[in-house]
Amino acid sequence: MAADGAGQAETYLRLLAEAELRRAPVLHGPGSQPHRVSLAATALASAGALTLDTAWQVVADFQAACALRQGDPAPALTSLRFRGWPAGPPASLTLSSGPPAIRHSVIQFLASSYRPGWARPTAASGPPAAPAAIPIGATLPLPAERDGWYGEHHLLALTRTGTEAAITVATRWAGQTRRSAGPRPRHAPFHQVGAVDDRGVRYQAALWDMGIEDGREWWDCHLALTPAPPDGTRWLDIGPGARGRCIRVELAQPDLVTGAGPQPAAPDGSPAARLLDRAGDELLARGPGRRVAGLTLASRVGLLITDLTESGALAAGDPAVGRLIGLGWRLGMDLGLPPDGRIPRATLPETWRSMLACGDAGDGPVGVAAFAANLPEICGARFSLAGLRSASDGATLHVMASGWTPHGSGWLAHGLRSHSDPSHVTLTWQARDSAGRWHLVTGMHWGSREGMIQMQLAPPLHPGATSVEVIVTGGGRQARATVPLCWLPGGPDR
Amino acid sequence: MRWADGELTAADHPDVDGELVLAALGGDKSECVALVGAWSAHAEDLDVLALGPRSPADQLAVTWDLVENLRSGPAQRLMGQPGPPGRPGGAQPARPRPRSLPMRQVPADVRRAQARRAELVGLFALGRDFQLALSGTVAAAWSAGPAPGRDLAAARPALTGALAGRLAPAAAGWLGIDPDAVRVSLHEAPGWGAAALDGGTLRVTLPVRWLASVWAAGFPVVGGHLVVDVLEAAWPRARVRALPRPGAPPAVLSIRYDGEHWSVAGTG
Repeated sequence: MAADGAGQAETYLRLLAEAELRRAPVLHGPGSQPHRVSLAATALASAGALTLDTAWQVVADFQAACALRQGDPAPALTSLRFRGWPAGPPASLTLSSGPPAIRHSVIQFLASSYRPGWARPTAASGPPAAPAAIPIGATLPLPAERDGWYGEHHLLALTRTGTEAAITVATRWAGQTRRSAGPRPRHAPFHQVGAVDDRGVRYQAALWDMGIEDGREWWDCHLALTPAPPDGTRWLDIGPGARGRCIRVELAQPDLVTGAGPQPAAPDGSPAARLLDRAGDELLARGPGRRVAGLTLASRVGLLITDLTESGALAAGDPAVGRLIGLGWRLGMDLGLPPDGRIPRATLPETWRSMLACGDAGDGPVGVAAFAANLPEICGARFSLAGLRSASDGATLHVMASGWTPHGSGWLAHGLRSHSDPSHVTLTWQARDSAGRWHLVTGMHWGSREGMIQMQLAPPLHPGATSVEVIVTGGGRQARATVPLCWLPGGPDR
Repeated sequence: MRWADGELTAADHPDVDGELVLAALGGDKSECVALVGAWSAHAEDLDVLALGPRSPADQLAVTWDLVENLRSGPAQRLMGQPGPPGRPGGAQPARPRPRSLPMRQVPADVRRAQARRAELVGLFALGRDFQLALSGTVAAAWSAGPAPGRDLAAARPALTGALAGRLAPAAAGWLGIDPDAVRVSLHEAPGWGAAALDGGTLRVTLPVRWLASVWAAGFPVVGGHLVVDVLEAAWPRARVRALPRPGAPPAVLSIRYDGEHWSVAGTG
């Protein structure tokens, strides 16, 4: 970044900090609501207008100044940057270990945005293990459980790296065996299954990510296999289910879908412009009124535009500013119209136009599609797509990831996690079905098992869609894969 | 401790240099001598301006008790230093160290930075008058121009912030407006700067020396005038250049301190 630009951005941030200090803020220490200076610093660092060191220095100075006025000089020391601090807290410091109160508060201080946590993740010792996925597309009926209810596991795909293996599953209660059965259980069907391979080796299969007991229609989860089947394994029998039935999965399958890329993404402006486009995606995916960390997304986007334009990181007339304002206007937000009035719809990205047109759709096909696709490496991460479940109001896409951890849904309001690096490359996910409808990720769940991620897509798939293209963008490049929507027997309910 | 003519001295320690040499050879160093050394070490430290008071209403809540707690409490351990030795017999037992808390190796440069910061907090504990004096000392150093270790270009944002934080409340009080309506920039050309009203916004540009010669001296606004420069100073009087209103040419005023306030003693 140009020295003048960085100086202008730092000056903006320091002047903002002075204005905030005049309000005599009371920073309550570790907490979930980032202060104004932190949000601005993150925006400028994410946009490349400031170095991470400078951004943190200004935030640390501000926090220390506040602390000295509150009669607590300790943060004046501990807010100084710890270089080389790990990106995440070590396992021994997890809050679940129930530490005593003082250590808990210290840990919270260290783990929150109050702490110098913007250290880059430690570099991996080597390239991430490439996950590989194989479609299954079979249903394993389960024996009846309590009160006569029986479930079924729809096995979508088997994904594995050298050390991890999982079968993505959509499971539900299929019916009841007798009229006197009680109400449908609120928890997911749970019947212990396992696996055995062609050499007679047995594997444990543990069901993960079953979520809370809320009586939903479907549960999107996965069976984690322990150990992972080694190379050379020809097939696995998964079961036993009802009446001892097993599903055979052939591990050596030709003609798998392999994604394309990574290829250069279409030029989309400066890092600051891309940041605004991501903000637009978030607005469409989660809604302007969604509150995170004490702010609505609409408020946060307004602050983001102010910080980027008034610091000089982005010109007020930049097209990215214009299209975000145009999007906001269409979502009922007032981000300030330009002097010449409305922003033409045609200037909005195709994704946004599609989302605006179909965002309230409730016509998605109800069913489960089994597919597998291995994406090429992008920004040091590798992914396998492992099936999808569609509902009338959205879809859940299963992904096995290697070398990448989701940043969650709060990057815009939190300014990324307190322990993540704002300048670290992040990936955006989009999908477009064969009917031309675009989809964004409204949420991710990555549960307790490293690597398996469920991505919630909205709006729902078009009822006539026969395939979906998944697009991953990051670092100026894109990786794509188009997967067929092969609905499990019975087809989708439309 | 006494501050006068730009220097901090310890009245009961006439040979500070000698005591520092003894301390370096393993002898004890008194708190007073340590503070004199710390003052000198922070004479150009921009952290003073980043953390110090901005206006009469801006009070730091730093006491010696807090400084002692800081030196001996959990923050000390976070800095990678051991806690204080146990108290003599009859005192409460030391708190057992949580076994699962890992020993964190704080890098040496961070330890040094934290020690320096703790030293600065100790200086703030001397009280408001000393806080202002130290702030003026730092501002005077940075207004003297470039020197080894003084990168004006890199420090410009911090100096602008320091100026704005102190000028905005003063200028806002001068005109009776919101401090957020005051836009401050650094003046680096010859002359005293400029001040003009632009709609409801006051735009002021002043040099860094304003912090040392005007703000730290305690007379940013006198007799309804915004003081923008000092022409002569001989305690308790000074000849200053001051603005009666934004955009007007500055007037030359004689001002005098009467023990409580600065007031206009004459013009010219």
